[in-house]
Amino acid sequence: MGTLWIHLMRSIGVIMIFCGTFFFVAATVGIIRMPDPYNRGHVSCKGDSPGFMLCLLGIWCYWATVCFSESLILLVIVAFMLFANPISTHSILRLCYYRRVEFSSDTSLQEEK
Amino acid sequence: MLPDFIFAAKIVMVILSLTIFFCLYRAIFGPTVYDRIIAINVVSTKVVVMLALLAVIFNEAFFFTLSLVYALLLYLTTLAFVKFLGTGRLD
Repeated sequence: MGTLWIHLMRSIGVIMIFCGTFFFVAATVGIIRMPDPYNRGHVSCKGDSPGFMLCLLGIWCYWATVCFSESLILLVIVAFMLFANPISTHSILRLCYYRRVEFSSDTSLQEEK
Repeated sequence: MLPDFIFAAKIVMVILSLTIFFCLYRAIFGPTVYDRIIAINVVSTKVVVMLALLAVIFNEAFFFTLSLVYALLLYLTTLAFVKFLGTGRLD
């Protein structure tokens, strides 16, 4: 690999991990500020999945220039968490709904019969 | 002026540590148990990212394996908590 290619991959990695950190900070603000567990779970999953994927793909962009065969396990982690994170958040919120946890007073429900 | 990836990784680790403290507020003072599970889920996801960043900072590749193990444990623990809260047993 040429030097230009290495610098390009590392610069893309820096940009990607900072974008992922932005998503994590947004998820934290949502978890603190949102009124009920449904909103908190929604915003945590929305902020977590792209933040995680951007951070780990950014680290992959760096480590692929160091040792490519060692960096493949990062793609395994990303492929696993792509399915695991929404499933766990969905199961928490489904349990919340079955247990009749109260919605926030600002929420309006339209349920199907 | 080329960006230094290891310095950026250190900055990101500091920011993630601060956001973990703010998530622990919701884990401690959360009104329901579901808020606590959601907050701990987010904290664990951040810890997985921090382990991968630690591999970059220490220049050691086996932290990636540690990160994978922690991701598997995170998924399993959350589902076990939800199953235990929902049915009262784990079998």
